[in-house]
Amino acid sequence: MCVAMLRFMLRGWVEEFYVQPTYHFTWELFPWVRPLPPPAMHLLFVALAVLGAAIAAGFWYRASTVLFFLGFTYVELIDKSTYLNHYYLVSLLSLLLAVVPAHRLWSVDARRRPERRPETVPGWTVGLLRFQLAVAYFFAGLAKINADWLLDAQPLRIWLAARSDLPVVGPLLGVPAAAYLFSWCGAAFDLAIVLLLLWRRTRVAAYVAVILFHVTTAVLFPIGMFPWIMIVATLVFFPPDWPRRWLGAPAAGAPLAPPRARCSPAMAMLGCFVLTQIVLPLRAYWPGADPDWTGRGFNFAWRVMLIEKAGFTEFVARDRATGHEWTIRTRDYITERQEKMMAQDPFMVRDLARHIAADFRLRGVAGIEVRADSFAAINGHAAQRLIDPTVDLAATVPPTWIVPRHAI
Amino acid sequence: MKRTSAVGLTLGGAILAAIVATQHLVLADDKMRPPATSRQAALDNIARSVLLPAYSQLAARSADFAAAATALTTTPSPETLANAQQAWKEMLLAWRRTQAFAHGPVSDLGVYGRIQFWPTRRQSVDRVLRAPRPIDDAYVQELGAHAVGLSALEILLFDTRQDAAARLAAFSGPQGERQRKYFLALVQELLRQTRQVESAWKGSRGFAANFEGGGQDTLNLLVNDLLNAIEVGAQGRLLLAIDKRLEQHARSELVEGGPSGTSQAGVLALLAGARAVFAGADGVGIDDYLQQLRPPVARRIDAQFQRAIDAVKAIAGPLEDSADGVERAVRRAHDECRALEIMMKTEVASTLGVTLTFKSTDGD
Repeated sequence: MCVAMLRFMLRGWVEEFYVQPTYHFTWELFPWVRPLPPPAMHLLFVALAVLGAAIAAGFWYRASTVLFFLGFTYVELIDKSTYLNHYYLVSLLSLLLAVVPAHRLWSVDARRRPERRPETVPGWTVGLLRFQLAVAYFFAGLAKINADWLLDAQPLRIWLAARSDLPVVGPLLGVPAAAYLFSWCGAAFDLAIVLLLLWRRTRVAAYVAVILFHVTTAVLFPIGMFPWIMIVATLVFFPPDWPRRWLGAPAAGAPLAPPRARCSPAMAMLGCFVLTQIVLPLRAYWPGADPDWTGRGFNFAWRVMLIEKAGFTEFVARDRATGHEWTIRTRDYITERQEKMMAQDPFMVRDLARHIAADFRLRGVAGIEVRADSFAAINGHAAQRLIDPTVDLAATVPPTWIVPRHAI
Repeated sequence: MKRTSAVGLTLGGAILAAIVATQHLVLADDKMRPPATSRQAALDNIARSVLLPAYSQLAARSADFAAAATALTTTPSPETLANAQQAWKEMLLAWRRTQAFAHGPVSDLGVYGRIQFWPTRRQSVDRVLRAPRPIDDAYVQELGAHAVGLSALEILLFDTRQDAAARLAAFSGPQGERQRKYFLALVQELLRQTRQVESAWKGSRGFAANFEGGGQDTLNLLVNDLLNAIEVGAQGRLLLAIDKRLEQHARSELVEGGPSGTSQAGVLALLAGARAVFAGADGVGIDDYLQQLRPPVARRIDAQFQRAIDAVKAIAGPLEDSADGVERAVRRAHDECRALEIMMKTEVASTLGVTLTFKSTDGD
């Protein structure tokens, strides 16, 4: 994560994502989360990079993991438009790292105080990390069982065709059969990989598949650090002593006596965490949810690389008293990147409509209504209206404010 | 051992079934053959058959205009004035046809805003005409975009404050000396710039080669420029023409192309240029590439382009005409252009992957 944070700073994303925007799409449960002043925002990323290095080195491990989790999660909660599944995974893994004693061996902390460090960890700590990765893979695979993915090879047909200029393999990527192959193999990989990693006989072959799969995605798609994080993280499926055996280091000391099973508050919290990780992705399968279209249940559900969606939204504000109407220049409120993300998510459209209304009220127009002319297209299907244009988004919206997707 | 074999057999069977199913799907569908039209073929054709000829046309119209301008300044007469006005219009329309792709040499050489800048500032032109400094190339190069290019020349050729006789008089006799010099200097600057742009597109190391080799990046740029042309160039101009807040007496000044009567033809030329880029003229274009990826999208966009062009053609008069019928037609043309914009921003963008936003795909 040290590298990821450095990359974030060097690419100017701190400025672009957290300093330049004058408006942020806050999360419903965290409307009070706001960016720090610009210098502090930059400093925070420097601190996160240092903390990432400290975690890797096992230096002040507990404090580093807790601070990294808090700092990174804070950054992710600033603006909905920056949500990415892999950032969510990093938040969760950093939380779990703060709980598990991953610094017991080969860390600065262990070297400084060897007498206080047993060389083994409780089995549940490894199981917890495996569980988190299993959830991500399994739900990512489950989400791929849909007509677009399996029968139409979308959106991979679009994405692979866009990479047909790659040397050697490029021309093959433009062939639709390649998209079908990638789609089916991708879904099978996500659904089966955890079982294959857990089974001793298939583990090594499965890990080779993990490397091949993620390296391929890294080459083909601009998905940053995610493939590398997964390649490293899935090593947790090997027996915990594999580095020792690999390096020929002496075996660990005698394991600790297993803790007695009891219902402590900490275990209850862990239970809640596990349950949440299972329930949250299931929101997407609630009848009529259509998360890809409505955005309901899309985030925190491991719907990874699933859709190519583009939207168009134009706001019209109307003074109820005079009937005067204004067509809003969206860029007066948000950046180009935010606009692109907002236009495909009805909830962000509603958020911005409310912000526009608040802005008009500040300028003395009290009875303001804001409506949106909003369209979106998914995976190359025909564009459809996303939001009912008669609904005043600045007021309480009726349950039917999002126009359902037509049968495709 | 037996259990292991059973699990192995089950897994093997599942994989085999998946492969068979995939093969069945792949072979059953005619569309599974390798694409006949590649993105590369489309970009090659658009560069060589549409954009390069469009910039060559612009340079040629600029040369025609320079010849007509020389004739006007040498022997000012109603005929030479009319010829110069006509040549200006043809150059403007040639310029509009290039605007579907505004990147490349025209922006790299920093001449885009100098060839045409809107809105025009009449005061800037008047200030040059009244200034004591002799007019030469160095002076013209120091002038801002408001006082040079096609818009400034429109003021000189189609001054709405003057009748035809007064316009001609402004170019005649000793009192017209400064206007003639200013006029010719602007025309010569345009000729230089359009030739520079044309030459930068040509050759084995020209921009056309870069364009063709740019792959997905070029396609992204092209689609974004097309969108800008439709949204700002066509739709924006139509919207301005029906803006009720425009003062009635100044409408022909405030609507682009109003003084020269080219407001409608300008939008039409821009849309025609955009369509030529999209369709690759008579060759392979983005529409053919789309046809490979998603035939219904290609058909819908093509039909919408036609509807937008037809709607602009149906406007019976200049855009700034506030007559009811014209206004209704302008509004309809605006709505058709807007529908085209929406299709481009949603269906085309998502089908071509030009945004590649990877909604929730962890792309940082």
